[in-house]
Amino acid sequence: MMRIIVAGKDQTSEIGSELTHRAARHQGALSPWSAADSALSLKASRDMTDYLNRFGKLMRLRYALCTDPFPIPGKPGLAANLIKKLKTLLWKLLRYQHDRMSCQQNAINELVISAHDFQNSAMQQRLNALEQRIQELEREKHR
Amino acid sequence: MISTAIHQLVAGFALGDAISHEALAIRDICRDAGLASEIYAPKDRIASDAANTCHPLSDYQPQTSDTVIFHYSITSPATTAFQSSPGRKIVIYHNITPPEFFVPFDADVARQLTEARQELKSILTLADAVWADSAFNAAELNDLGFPNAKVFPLLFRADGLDIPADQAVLAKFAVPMKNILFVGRIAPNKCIEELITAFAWFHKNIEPQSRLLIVGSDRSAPTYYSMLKMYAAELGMDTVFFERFASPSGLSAYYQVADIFATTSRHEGYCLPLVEAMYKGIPVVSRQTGGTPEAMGDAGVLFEDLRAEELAELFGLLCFDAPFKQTVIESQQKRMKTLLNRNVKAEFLALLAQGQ
Repeated sequence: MMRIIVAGKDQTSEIGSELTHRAARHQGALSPWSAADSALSLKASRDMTDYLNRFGKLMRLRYALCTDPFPIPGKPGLAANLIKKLKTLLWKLLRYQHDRMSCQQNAINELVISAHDFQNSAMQQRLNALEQRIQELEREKHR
Repeated sequence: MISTAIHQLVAGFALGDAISHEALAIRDICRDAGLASEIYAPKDRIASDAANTCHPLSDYQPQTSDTVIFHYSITSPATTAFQSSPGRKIVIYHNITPPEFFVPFDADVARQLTEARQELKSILTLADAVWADSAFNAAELNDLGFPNAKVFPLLFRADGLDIPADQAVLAKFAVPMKNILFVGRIAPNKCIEELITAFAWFHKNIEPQSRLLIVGSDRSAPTYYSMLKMYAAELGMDTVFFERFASPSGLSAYYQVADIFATTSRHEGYCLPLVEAMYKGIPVVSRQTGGTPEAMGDAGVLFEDLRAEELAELFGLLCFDAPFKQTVIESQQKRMKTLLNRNVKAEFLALLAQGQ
């Protein structure tokens, strides 16, 4: 149950309802990902192996740089307004170069993730072969 | 027998860490009282900048006339050294983080925490005196069957904060924005993801000119730290700054630029940064959990069961409602007067004299 203590006094009824009322203005979702694909899904990992598997999957979803237009925060006043407009214009002008570079960076990111996956897969195969060999040797020993 | 030396054992040592900070304060009190006093920790767990302050455990040579104080919060080789000490033994219990917080992120730490809870009883049985750094921690010991634990609240020393602020940090955050600060280990029990969510609402709908500064070591759970980094990026929060471990002058600078200190931690034995922030005159918001009400006293803002959006609105009140902020600040000033007037030396020596 909600509880708010300010300077040692319980002010849940005074402040709590105001916070709840104001909080109604926060609409929509913060994360573009579903719960299963959110970084917070890592909290459900059973152990380190599970964590690594989940982490790898989440990385695969996130290798690309986001080049979508974004809201540039502004301040009141004529000068601040002009600066905001200049920033918006600069962003539009720079997009041509920026998109080229982000494309290159995305390719590098994806290759790095793939390299990690290949290495992981090779290690896993080697581990499986070793485990199988140990089992065979143990069987032979007990024969 | 009257002790001629009081040595301390800790599981690890780093300048800026709360337990290390307390061990240093106790060492200085002992030396002031004319007693020999050193701090020992496993060599691989002593931070490189603390090598002149804390000695490797292998150098610890206990004598029958010594008193040894063992700061306990996790298993470590220091436990064996404590068990084999022939002199008077005192345990200061700093609480053990519930292992379930660490299970998804670090099985080894989760195992150490589980073992710490299992071995706690045997350690307490060996001790001649048991102290806890909060009444919350003492209550845990009472539940374990040790009703005589004395409360010795975690020590706060202002001198570590009254130093010139790191200019590089001040320059980095020179553009005026509303800064929400968190200081503490980056560990799963701190639930920093909840703070990031609240900040994201605050940034998106209340004050776009804002930053969240997360200051603390990521060494205890790098996998948790990676999750937080990924989560902040997922929310598009490019003004969430992970500043990692801060030097004392760095810490002084972070407190200087902060507008609010906030923590959404779900497990705390005491939480010294709350006191530090109050000392620096920053309004403090904390979840009411474990020892945090004791650290706060009748000051600051404590909350339970607030949704992230509501917590964001609480940040808004503290930033933009001047009378509300003033009430909070005044309560914190009163609290600091009490804490700064504490006669730590007399308190410590009185506790030490009990049962001697």
